[in-house]
Amino acid sequence: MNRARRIWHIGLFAIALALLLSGRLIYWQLFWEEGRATAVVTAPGEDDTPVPEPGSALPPPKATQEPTVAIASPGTRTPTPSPQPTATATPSPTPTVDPATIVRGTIYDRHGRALAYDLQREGNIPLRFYREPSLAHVVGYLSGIRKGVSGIEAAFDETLLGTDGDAVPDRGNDLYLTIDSRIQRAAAEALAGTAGAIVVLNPQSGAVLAMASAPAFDPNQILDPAYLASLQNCEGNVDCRQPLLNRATQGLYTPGSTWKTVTLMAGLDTGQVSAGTVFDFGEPRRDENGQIYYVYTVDGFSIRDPNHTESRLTLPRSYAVSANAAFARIGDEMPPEVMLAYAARLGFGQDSAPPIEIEAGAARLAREPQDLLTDNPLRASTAIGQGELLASPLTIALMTAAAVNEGDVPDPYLVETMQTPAGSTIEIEGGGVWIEDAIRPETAALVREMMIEAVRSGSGFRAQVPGLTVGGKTGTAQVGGDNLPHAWFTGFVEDGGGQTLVITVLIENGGSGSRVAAPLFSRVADVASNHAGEPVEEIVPEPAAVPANDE
Amino acid sequence: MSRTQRFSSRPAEAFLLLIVAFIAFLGFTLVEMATLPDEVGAAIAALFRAWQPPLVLSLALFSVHLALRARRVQGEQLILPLTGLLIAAGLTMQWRLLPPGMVWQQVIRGLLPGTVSLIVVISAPRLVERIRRNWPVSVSLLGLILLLATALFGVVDQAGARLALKVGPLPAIQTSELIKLALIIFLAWYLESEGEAAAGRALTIGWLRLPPLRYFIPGLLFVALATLALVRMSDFGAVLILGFLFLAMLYAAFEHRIFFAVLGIGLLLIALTGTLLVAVDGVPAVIQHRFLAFLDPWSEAPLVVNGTPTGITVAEGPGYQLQQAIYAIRDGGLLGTGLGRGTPQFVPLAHSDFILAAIAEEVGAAGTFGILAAFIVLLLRIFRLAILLPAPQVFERLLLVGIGVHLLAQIFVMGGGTVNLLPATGVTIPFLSQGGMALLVNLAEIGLVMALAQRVEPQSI
Repeated sequence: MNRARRIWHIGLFAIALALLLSGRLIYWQLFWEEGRATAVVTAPGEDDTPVPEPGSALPPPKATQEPTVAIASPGTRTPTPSPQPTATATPSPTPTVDPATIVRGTIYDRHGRALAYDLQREGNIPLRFYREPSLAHVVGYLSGIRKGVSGIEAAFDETLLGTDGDAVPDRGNDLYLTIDSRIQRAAAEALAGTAGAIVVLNPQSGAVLAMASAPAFDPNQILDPAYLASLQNCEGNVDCRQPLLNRATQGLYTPGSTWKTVTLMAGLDTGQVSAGTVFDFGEPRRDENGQIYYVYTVDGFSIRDPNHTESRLTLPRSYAVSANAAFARIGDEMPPEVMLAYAARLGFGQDSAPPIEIEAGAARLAREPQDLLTDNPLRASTAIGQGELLASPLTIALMTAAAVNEGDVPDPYLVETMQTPAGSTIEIEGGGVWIEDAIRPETAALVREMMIEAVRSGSGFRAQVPGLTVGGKTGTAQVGGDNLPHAWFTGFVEDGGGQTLVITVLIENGGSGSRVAAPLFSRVADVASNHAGEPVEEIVPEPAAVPANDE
Repeated sequence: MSRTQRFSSRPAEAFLLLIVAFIAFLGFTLVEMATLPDEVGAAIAALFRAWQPPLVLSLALFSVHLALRARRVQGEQLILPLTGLLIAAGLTMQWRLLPPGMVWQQVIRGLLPGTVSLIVVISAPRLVERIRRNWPVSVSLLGLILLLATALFGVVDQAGARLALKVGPLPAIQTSELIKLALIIFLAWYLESEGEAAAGRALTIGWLRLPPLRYFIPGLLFVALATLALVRMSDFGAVLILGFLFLAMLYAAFEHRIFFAVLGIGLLLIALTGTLLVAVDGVPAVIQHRFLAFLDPWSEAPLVVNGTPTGITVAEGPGYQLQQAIYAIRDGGLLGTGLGRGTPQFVPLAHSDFILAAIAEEVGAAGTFGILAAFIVLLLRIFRLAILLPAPQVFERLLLVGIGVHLLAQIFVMGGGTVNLLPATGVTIPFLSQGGMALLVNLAEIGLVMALAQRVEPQSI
């Protein structure tokens, strides 16, 4: 009867396992204390990325005579408060609902084109369909349990589910984005075949009209493990470099010469330089190919300037041709506190991510910003956008916006309004000013003029759009090693009707900003000014694999 | 109880089935009462709609009862009512949580074909013998082929698992359920046919006796192949269950002291699967997330998919489901909130994988322990049959053990996942969870059990 005993052993084992399960259940009911809290229902979007008090951590512009080291800048991201245990007598679960069963709200662009919506399926949970794959990073996608994982889907999860109120809904709220599908498509097409990002925003309101990141992914297929693995492994696909990353907000790159604009703004605003300042670059040198270059030397550290042949240039010309020697000198001679304060004021403060609704990264001024106080070569190379600087395309775009927004840095936003199932439209808070009076309006006007000059007769000439006023700055950011530099262009386009748009283009390891990024700016600026709001050709994305009906 | 009677009487079973039917009607009525419309006509219509599924269930159970009487099966009158009770509980909770259409889908795709297969298996007593003599290899191979086909060509569901095979216009088949039955049959056959030979050649190392290698190598191979396929299908619950089955059946089959050998093989299997995972594909993100959520459901650790931060934390992602399950269990208390009066719909997948959390909330710890007790009694009755089977029937005995262990493994793996005792895996709980194919296979297993019950000398019940 050995086997009989064995079988009873298994029976006893079964009883033991059942007791284990029961014990664990009893534990949760009787002995689990710390969790007896009503979990905090975090409101979507801007609530967990608090909008900073404009300029609160900064002295007003005039106070720069007695600069303070205000590295802790506006917009310092405070961590989301963790659920506080509240000893309530009748604890109840979070009033959320199984996201799988609710029809999520539709996400529209600014003209009412549906970008993401639920497909109803007979006797089954709905399937989320993404109609505009070029918005994969902005709109985001859902997990297997239909909870927002990234982008708007995550930031506005409860709004889209309708669980932000008290009632249990069966249908969520719709969202209208600031995105214009036509401009978005143009931005995505401009990036085709590259790794990079393009941001188009309204400098007055902060509304983001387009935000493209390449390489992209298809959110309709993201739940297919094979597809996800192909994004990861990238077999034979050279373009596949972290396609899930939203380069526009999360990618951090050396900004190169685009950052000379920050140096220019700080120098003009504090009166260190003016439009009449003339720089003398000393004796020209020739390299082995006979090319003329100049050198600015600080504490034995040489900064090379091959961008012009003239040995004397005014400040506007220096900006237009992107003279490294001029801006390295401005940086070298600038009080370090001024550089730190203006960097923070223009959105490059330590840990100060732009307050956009979706995931965004903070720029980095230097590994240790305090080093800038004592390290003159570091400050000089930071002034020309090299050094240890890292910035996202969005932060560069916001800085640019200050030049055409009377010195205010706008608060970027993606969601315009929400529409309840009952049909009422509710404004979503967002937009306006992120950092007020970052520079004086007169400074902004001067910088705007110099940006226009840089496109009319400087390195940015390829950014011109016939018939429109365009201003901007190229950037060719050296990244070291054998890698090609990052190609940048940031600027603005003004159509006749007084509408101004800021556009920032980044091509990762793209080469010359003037040759690579400026033409793409021109293409996108043309569409944004002349074709905004026009219908786009519907590209039907690959349908998602149809889930099994059985389970 | 003379053999000349046309029908044997099974009075205990009939009585218990009546109680089960009453419980089913009561459960559905209570669920419906919670949301009954004020208007009388609409209320009556709603109640009539709610009484239809328990009516179908009762008819199905009594038709099995009649089939058993027609076969003059004596004894074992507990298994059918217990099964019925569990199905009634499952359908009630599904009626509570799902639109009626999906409950009917469960009835049409799971309960009715399951009942038919139960009756067919009971009425064909030579079936088990046939399987044992003629088909063990073909049944196992068929299971394996189905599994590999699913792994290669299966359709991916929303959770990212590849569990179903779709052929033409037919509804998708949840093949991972079939493979477990195939494995039970294969192991029972193999362990029987090798058992005689192996018994004499056990390796003795001190007090430790190891069965000869060939005794379990084919089983290991089968498990390894199945594991590979299941890993590709991201169905890790099934991998756990296969391992559980293999070890338990090995333990039950071998004549000599084997506990430590089984333990060692178990550890070896875990190590092998782990190495395989890391070597082949890296530990899949799903597993990492589930494990993180298991360690701390409230963890605020950021989630990284393939090296890219997703911007959400564990607590907002995979931890969310466990949190909601724990809130549900906590809020249930001893007696529960009452059927239809809690909020178990907040738990993602409360109708299938996490149905125990829904039960714990609405009928409390008492109800959950009742369900667990029903499962345990059912298992023990199956094991009892295995012990009572007349002597030489090794295959049949192992088949019964395998079926019992299959049920046990499902309950423990998923129940453990629900109460945060194990990392959560996507496994259905037998008879309770929504899932037509799973119910069909579980009912066919009960059919095999009842077919074998006919060979046991009737005891008191």
